[in-house]
Amino acid sequence: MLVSISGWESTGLRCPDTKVSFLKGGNPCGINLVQMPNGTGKSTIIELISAALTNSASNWDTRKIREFRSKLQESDSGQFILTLLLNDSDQELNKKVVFQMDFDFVSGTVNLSTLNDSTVGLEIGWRVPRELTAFLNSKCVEVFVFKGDKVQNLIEYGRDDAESSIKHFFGLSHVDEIHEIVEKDFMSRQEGVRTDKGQARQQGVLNKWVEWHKELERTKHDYEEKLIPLRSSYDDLRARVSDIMDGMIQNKSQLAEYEADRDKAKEQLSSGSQTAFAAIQNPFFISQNINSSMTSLKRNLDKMKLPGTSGEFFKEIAEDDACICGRTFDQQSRDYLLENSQSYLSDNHIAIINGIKSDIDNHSYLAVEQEKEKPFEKLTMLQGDYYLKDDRVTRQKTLMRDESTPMQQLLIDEFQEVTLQKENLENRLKYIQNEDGDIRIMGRGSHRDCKKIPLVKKIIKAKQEELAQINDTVQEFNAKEKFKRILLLASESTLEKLKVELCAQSNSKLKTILPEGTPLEILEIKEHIQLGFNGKKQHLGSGGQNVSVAYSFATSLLERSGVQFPLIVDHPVTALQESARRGLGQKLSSICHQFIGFIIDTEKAGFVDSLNPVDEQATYITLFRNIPGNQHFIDLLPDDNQLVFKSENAYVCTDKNFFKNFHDVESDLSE
Amino acid sequence: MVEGNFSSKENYIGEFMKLDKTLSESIQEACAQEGAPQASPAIIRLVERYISNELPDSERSSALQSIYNLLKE
Repeated sequence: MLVSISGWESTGLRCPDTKVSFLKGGNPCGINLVQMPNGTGKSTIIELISAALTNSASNWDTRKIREFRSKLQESDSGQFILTLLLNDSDQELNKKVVFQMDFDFVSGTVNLSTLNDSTVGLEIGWRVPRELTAFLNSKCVEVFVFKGDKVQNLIEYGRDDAESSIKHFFGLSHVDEIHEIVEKDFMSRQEGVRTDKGQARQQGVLNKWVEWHKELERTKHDYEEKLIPLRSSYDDLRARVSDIMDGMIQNKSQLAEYEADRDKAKEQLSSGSQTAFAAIQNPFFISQNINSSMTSLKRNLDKMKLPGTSGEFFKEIAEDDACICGRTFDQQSRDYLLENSQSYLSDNHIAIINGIKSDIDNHSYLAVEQEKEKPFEKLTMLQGDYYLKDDRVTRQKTLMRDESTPMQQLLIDEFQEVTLQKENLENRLKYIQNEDGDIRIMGRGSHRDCKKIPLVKKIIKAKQEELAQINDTVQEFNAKEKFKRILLLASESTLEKLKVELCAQSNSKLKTILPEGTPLEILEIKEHIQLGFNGKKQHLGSGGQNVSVAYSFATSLLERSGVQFPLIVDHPVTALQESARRGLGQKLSSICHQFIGFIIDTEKAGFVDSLNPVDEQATYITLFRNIPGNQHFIDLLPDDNQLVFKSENAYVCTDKNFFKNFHDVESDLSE
Repeated sequence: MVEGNFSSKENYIGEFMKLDKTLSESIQEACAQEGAPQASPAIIRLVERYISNELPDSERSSALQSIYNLLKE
């Protein structure tokens, strides 16, 4: 199914009053460029498109809603209308869907209406067409609406935007939600079981853990929400600080070298910590006494020929007609055998004891004593090395800061502050999601002492199992756990299969976009997109390569899902040099069915001429405010009224020549 | 005319599953792995209904119960 945007209309909002259409001859165009000078409202329009597609406006507060009010008109109301066309030749589907947002700036509210069925007309509320139910949510829309640092976020290590997009587009995030529903349902069933005092107490303890789990999930959600704007300002500040650093070429390359050294030392420290931790867990490291006791235990077990014969052996014999000595069994001797078989250990217990004996055999205190100090000595050395290299990075940064202007120093300080806040929140998030710890110990203490969600979940599971045994609902509990395991297995397996498939599809698209012989491909899709070539990893590509990777991934995802949305991109080629713009422009119409790019005049060089589709399949729209400062643009507008739409506060021109010749007067003056 | 193609709930779900074949196959595989192949149609149906927002709260418990019954077999 193809989903296209046929156009939008806006009135009374902080973006100009406009009517934009991407239709030609009644059909949506494949390539659509909307040229808008800075400050005309590109971001606002993109935000409104996202809001119309996801109903996110229903969560906006009055302040946020009033921020959309036109500063010049100060009208009491505003409106945004987005029109989609759904087309599926297999289903003979050709449908128009309209989302209308009516702003009331007096009450600070926004009401949505939808035209979903032309025979019914406009209906109150956001009525998502059934065909799109699974896709019109913020996470899916983020896949095809590119704004800010979306490109980098897909590729950057430590971000999970790529995996999250796949999970949301293929319903896997919903599968995760089913786990919660299953747990909620199970708890309400358990509470319905009649209980005595002891059971009620157990249920009370379990309820406390369940409530604590909810609280931790809320905290986690809170961290994630706080991280969104923080990551965004971090990305923005990082880019600006990087621009400052670009002016200090020698210092910058020195810093990069120091940072690479520091990162390597950090990796080695982490690996050294793991080795030392593993060593601590070895009981032979603890003391000579434990070593002696264990050796003595092994000796005694051998002396007593333990663990001996298993109970199962006697049970099996008792099922035969005769004993191994040839004597025929009567019922009395069979009963005797069965009764006494319980005095022997089971197969499982025997395996455990034999395992312990074998482990004792394989270790000796003297041998490990010699090795004991080594991991800790190495850890101390690695720690010292890391501190040294980290300190060198800090000093280099201080040096570069000192060489900056006071304004730049403010920016650098702000970047450091935001970096600290971001890392702090990320560490907290990491901690709350950590699963290290012993649930047998944690489960006995107060629930508030356990602040790791995976552990709390395990404790809840263990307590549910205990309670199920008391309540005689073990079968229900086991069925529930089996259902959860099935969902988890299915979800994980689907995700891995999709990642492999999307990696191959994206690479095949990428090959057609990048110049022949470019040594870059997607090595694998993990939480992020891992770039590299011939098995060697690469952190990021060039600006143009990153954009190509992001478009290849997004369009592959859309194609694979069977529902192809348009790619809507804010500043599609800003980061690209002219040759890269040309390369991308030539391939754009072949990688997606509809491209809508919001650009400024400086992005046209190299890009616009390379698009080169037949004019019937492209729209070149210039949109600017009707203000005295734009009179020189107004004077140049073509006389043909068919090509110009004039509203109270803006002009929309669809003439290709006007589009090509449109240059911001400020940049002309500065030249 | 347009609605005719999507008027039936079954049709819509069928359409959706065509999009999400990997997930339904993985559910079948997971059920087989857990020794409960008989439960896979019901689980697929529940996931379909939930994803397409067609599983009302009031029907969740009974839908889960029928899956548990199959898993207990």
